[in-house]
Amino acid sequence: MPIDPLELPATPSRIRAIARDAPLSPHVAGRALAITLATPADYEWRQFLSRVLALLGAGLVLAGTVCLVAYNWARVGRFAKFGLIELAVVVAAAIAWRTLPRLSGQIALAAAAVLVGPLLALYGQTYQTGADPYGLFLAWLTLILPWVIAARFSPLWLFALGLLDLSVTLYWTRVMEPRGAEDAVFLVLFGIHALALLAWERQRRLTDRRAPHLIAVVGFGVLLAPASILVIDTHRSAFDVLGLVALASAIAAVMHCYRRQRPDRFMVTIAVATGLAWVAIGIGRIVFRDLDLHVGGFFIMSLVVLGEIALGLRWYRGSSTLMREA
Amino acid sequence: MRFTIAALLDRLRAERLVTRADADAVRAALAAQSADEMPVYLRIVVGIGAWLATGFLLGFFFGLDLLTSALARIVFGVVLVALAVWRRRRARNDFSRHAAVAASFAGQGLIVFGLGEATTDVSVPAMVAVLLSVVLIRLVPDRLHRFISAVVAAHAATIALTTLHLPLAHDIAALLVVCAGAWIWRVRLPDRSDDVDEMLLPVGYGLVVALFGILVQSTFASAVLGGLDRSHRHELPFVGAPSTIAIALVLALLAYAIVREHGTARRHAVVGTIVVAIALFAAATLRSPGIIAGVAILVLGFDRRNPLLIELAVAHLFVFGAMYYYSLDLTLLEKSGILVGSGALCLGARALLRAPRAAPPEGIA
Repeated sequence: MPIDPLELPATPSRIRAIARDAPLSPHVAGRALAITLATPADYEWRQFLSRVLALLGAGLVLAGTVCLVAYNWARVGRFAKFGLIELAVVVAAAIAWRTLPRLSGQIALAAAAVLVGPLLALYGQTYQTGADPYGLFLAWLTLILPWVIAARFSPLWLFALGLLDLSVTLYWTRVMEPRGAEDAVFLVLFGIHALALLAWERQRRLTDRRAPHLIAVVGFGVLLAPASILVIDTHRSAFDVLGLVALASAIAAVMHCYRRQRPDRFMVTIAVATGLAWVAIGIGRIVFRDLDLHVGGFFIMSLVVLGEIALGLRWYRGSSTLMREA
Repeated sequence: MRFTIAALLDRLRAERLVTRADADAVRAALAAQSADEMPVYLRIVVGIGAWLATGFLLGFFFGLDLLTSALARIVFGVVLVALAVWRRRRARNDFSRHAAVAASFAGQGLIVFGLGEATTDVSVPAMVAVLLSVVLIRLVPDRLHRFISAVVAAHAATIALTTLHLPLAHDIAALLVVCAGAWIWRVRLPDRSDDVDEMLLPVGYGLVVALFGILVQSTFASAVLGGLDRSHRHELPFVGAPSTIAIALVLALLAYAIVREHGTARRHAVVGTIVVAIALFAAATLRSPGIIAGVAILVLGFDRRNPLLIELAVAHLFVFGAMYYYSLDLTLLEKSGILVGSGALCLGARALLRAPRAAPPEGIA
């Protein structure tokens, strides 16, 4: 949510409220409402439709081509298969070369980067390399990294981060299989996301907030796992204790950075929500396991969750006032 | 696309209707109001919490020895809903508000489950759920409650129509949801009072989500059960050509309303071209209403300058585009032809449109 109230979207309910509180004359309020409810101008529609039709058209033609290839896949020889995918990669990269840094170029380079994966999978399938699955994703990431840097496109960076997450998880669980340190993978994934977030925030010119939000949501999600295992599982390890410490530290760090230094209510909300979720899991363990309350436990848990919602909202409103004043 | 209060004030200032001093008064008024506003992500978190609380409450009530009979559950459910409505209308603090919402849904759950146990006809609890949801949308002044009630009403109506063994039951349900949604989002907006607007906004979102649910259910059923004997297909949640045609008609009406609002010269020619393009697109995606529904929500989202609707539409298109691949109604070759044909239609329409190079008119940023 923007900090300057004037940057809020104009909605009918907001206009009516402004007309009451500001106050505006009925004529001005009526005109404001009419402007707000009017459909966008002709030139805006043309721009929008032009973009939507281009994206939808290209997407549908591409999807149709994929279906055609899938229909004939069994009849196509191995060289033709390689040729088809390589041709698609080259065409997408060539379009990107001509059109970067425009959005069309970024999308084309992202398509080329995504197509590298099927090419590697086809290679593994054709020559039966026997490589571990993590190798496919790591090789994919390594090969596309220069394109990721060149594209300067948030979705492609997120895709690369997803590939890294997948590689690490597969390596940890299928290759390393460390006895007693299975839960450490959550800490490693959290570390990756913390570094990614730090790298993002260091570049002050980046204005897109969705990418850091998504990175933070996944980061908190993977930390909640070991912290919850510590509470509910009897087979806990030292890494779960570390997970809880990391979760507490991450919440404290987010509260410190995003309340005043770089106000971002989403980050603060997600940190608080993760903390409240952990508290609810802890109380659930006490209620259902330690106190062994069955039916009554459900009632207590409903009160706990409702209490947390109320506390969280109360805190949010107070915090919003503070952040507006910052 | 996003139209802010600042942009609105610029427009009003250009028309000499407000001054800079008015802008400061508006800022102060907004600052006071926004303390009570919740962004979408917070509503989602609160919604998940409310559902959890409802689940725990239901677990508690179903576990009580006093409520083992269907009649006891129905009676207690009615009392609980009545108390929850009364409490929510008077509640001022967050705990009471959300406790009332959770209690209301727990009560509705008890009534519906109780009726399900008392009768063998599934249509009875489904119709009661529709009725309860519609009445509670009016009675409970809570956005989350209204949103969930709209979703519940749409899905319960679908179940009721199916159990009544009506032909094309799911198509009729989808049509009802589309018509109700179109009315809420586009018809007689300036005439609505604050209260009606406040009541219908969450219902509008709820219906978009419900339509998504109905279409996903159909596409999933088509992918998993599409090869079944055709004589049993009326029992399954399939929607198809009738829904596509209905959504295409609604989209054409929306396009007509937009063109009329612009007062475009050669209106009939423009509308005619749009209708032909929509008809061709609908014909190409006849058995997959999810795709044209996504396009309709996208157009509606831009028309209403609503980023959330646009995001829902994009999710819609991604999901149905991906699920279309697994549909068993068509061979891969047929799908390929349809997709390439629809894509070529879109690209052709774009070429016709010839996006202008001119800068926007002065005063409109």
